[in-house]
Amino acid sequence: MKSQLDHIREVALKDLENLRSLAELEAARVRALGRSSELSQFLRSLKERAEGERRELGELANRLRGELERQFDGAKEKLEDVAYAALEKLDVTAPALRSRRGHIHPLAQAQDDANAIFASMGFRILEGPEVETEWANFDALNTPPDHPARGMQDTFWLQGMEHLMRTHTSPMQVRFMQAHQPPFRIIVPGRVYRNEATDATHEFQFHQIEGLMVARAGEGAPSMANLKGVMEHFYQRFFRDPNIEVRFNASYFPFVEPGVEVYIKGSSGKLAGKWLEVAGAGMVHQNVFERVGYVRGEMQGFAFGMALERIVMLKYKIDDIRLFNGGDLRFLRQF
Amino acid sequence: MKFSYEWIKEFAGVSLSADEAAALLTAKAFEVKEAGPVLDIDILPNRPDALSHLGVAREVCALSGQRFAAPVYEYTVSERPGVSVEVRDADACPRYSALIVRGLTIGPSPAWLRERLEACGVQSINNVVDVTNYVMLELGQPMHAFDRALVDRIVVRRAEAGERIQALDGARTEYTLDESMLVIADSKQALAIAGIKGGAGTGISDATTEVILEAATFNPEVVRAASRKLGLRTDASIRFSYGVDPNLTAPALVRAGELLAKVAGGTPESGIIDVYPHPVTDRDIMLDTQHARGLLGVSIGDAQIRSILQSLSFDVSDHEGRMKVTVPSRRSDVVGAEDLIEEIGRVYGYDAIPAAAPVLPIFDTHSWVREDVAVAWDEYGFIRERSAIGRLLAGAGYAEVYNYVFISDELKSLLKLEGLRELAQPQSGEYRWLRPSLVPRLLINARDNLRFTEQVRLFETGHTFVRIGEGKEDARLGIVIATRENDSALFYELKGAVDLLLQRCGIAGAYYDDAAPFTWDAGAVNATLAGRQALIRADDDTVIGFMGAVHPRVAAALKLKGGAAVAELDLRALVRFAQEEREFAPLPKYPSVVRDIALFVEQGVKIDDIVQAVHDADRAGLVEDVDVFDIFLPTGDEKLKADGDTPEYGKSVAFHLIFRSNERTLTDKEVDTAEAAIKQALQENVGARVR
Repeated sequence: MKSQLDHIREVALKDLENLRSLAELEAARVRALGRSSELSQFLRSLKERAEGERRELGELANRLRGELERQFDGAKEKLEDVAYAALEKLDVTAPALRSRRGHIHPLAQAQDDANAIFASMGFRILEGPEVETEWANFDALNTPPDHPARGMQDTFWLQGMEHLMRTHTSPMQVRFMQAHQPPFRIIVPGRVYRNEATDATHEFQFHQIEGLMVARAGEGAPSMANLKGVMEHFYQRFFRDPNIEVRFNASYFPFVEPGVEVYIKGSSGKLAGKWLEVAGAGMVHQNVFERVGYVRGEMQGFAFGMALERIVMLKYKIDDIRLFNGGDLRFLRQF
Repeated sequence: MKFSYEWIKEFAGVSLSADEAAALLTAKAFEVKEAGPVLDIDILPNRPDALSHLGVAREVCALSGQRFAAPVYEYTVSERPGVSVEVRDADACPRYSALIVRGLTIGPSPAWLRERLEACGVQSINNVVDVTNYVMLELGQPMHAFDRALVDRIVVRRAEAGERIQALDGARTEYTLDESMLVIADSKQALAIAGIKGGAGTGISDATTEVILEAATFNPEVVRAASRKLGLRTDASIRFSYGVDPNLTAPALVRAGELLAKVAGGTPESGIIDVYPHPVTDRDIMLDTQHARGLLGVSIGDAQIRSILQSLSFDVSDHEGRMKVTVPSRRSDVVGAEDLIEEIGRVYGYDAIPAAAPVLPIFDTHSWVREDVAVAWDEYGFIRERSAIGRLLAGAGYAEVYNYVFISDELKSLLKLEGLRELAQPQSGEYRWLRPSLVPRLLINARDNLRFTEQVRLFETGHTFVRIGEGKEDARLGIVIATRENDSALFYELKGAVDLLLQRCGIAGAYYDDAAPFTWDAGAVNATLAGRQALIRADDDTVIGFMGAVHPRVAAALKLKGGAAVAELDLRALVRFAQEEREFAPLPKYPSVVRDIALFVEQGVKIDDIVQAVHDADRAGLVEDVDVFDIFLPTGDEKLKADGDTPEYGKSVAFHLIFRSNERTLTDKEVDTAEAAIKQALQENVGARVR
């Protein structure tokens, strides 16, 4: 009986040697392994044999069946490979079929980045109204009554002179503090307006990110050193440059005391080698705390305001601020 | 403002170079815009004390640790004034001092005097006028000289309405004054506009031998207002606008008298005339040095704090465990402890402040005090959803734009917009009106971009300003699609983007409602054409937005060549839906059965009517979806070919009906029955002829 299996094996392997097409291979496979093949018949005939013999021959026959299946699979793969090799080759250097892609405005991308950085520091992120009252935009922020910034030359007032386009995001400091007790830390990104002539570096409509961190005065209350720490951490992460240094220059803004201008210097690109002004900042003036309803002297904290356009222009080396509001796809497609 | 460094050094005796001094000033006091022998310094608006060489010298000394010796000018007040001085408005003129100088010979100034003036950008006139300017530059006190022979008395009063004065300038410019302005007058006429400009009639001439030197203090607001109204800014008005120390008048007169003796042979009277009803004194401020350390975040010792304050010529003494700091009147900016701390901080050096991480609880535990105030703003949840919506649109091929929020006279009239908020003083008619909608400027963007690209897909998010000053401003999302070819497919492509958004925000059952009038802003509605407009509503009928194909007249007026469609959505509504709770739907267990149906209907029958008829007829609830895959509107000959025998049928619609049960595999028989009922209902209810 074993010699019958040897014979089956010989015939099948011989058959395999002369195959030229998948059709021939399929025919040979049916001959060797199909329902009416000699091997199948052999297996069916085993049930008439004695138990011991049945088990031994069955094992041999099944082993042969497995071997032949592997052989046929291997032969099939070889024949297929020949066919695949004949398929048309692609010119991978030919132009692609275009996928359509839109673009997020560079200011929006930068704003998202900044929001995420501040959120990771536990800042709450808020956006407020762009039309404001004189009280929130100027009075509550300790701006002297006849300060020139209040005039129509500098500020866009609405007809009726009851409202104005906010000149900074700082009125949200006022609104937020009116509603909350410290401790808190917030940033307020948003659009602001100044009545000034436009050129490559000036716009009458631009964006600021306002920051405010306040706690009860005393041990651990936010200090100028903390302001510097937060500024440094933010700019290092925003510009992905761990070598950015921050320095303060003395300055004056009515709503902070002390007041400083924030400068940064980095190690690469536009930031390398010189100090660039990026923000105004300081310790919140006690008059502001008093005007929003806190008790003078009880709270301590810092505030800062940075122009978003400024840092985005630095980041991408954009040389004309007016491109941001131009709606020009040739600009937008670059981001 | 320009300063001669050589002059500063005369006071300070410092060894710093001009560039070193400039760097020091920029870091710790004022921005020096130009360094060199002449420094151009931006004196901060709260530091009138530094508007002089003496003031800057004092600052440089304090910042460089040099001891500063201020010149001392002794004076006495004359018992018998040589001219009568009457101040009628002490608020507007807190101090008026004068000195009479006799025996003058008018002539050119010596070279050293002329050179110093010219270095600071002041033109040399004659020795007397030059001395008044010199003293102003040196001490910070603006002065004026009247020819004593031409003035019978001095009265400081408000101008009369319409009162005129010829200015002491080359052109003798005439100014017309009003009652808000202050003048120096004699018994006959106004002699000078107080704190701004002298008059032509009583100025110094070659014949002058005796002068009244004026050194007065004027209220900054009065001078600022008059200067603005008259359009006249002078070295004097700039200084008075900052606010000049009232205690500076007497030293200035003494110094000027001294100089006039030297350069014009004059003899000053021995005493000055002084009207100073409420003398301003030095100020005491209590300082807790621990507060200073806490605010600055540095561990500076008391001794160093004391020495810094002393370097600024402040007196420091101990008072019950705190420092009592006496601040001279010239430092009008230093009124509270924080002002002192600023002085300490900047002299100590902001560079020496370390960058330190704040130590605060990792989340805030504040309590609400006024919830009514908090209605005006959006929180991060909204901001993040908005960004996600933006990214979705960008993924679908739309580019984000930022526009000016002001629209032009032209857009306003083209779109027939009423009730817009107007700027009181716009830069031009192009940017006069607050936008009621994002659509108008998006159409401009589309037009501009079509000049160099075939297809434009843009979106913008931002506030619109129909409702202002009452809580949140409207937050909108605007979308525009435009091509050089006008094509009604644009509307449907845009609708696809809107559908994508609605899906993204989980707004199931939203529908497009074409029943006019549209409760949406005219800025969008009037830009689009009747018959190609729809409100976008949620299934509870909430209006979420509006979309439409652009009106041909609007397109023509804007020179938008081609076609465009616009949509505008209420961002807060989108975000509100997106933030609603959602539950997942179990995956289907049984296979679906798909049947295709094609039919003719009249042109006026809407797809929604057909879909509704299908669902109405599906009593067993087996239809999972109606998926329309072809709509054909035959025109002209095509109409006959498509349906020769029933010309009243104008539209061919084909769709997949997808049947599925959640309980079992459907049998063909069940589906056949349902399909037959649906076909019959379509014939009966929408007049369809099933093909």
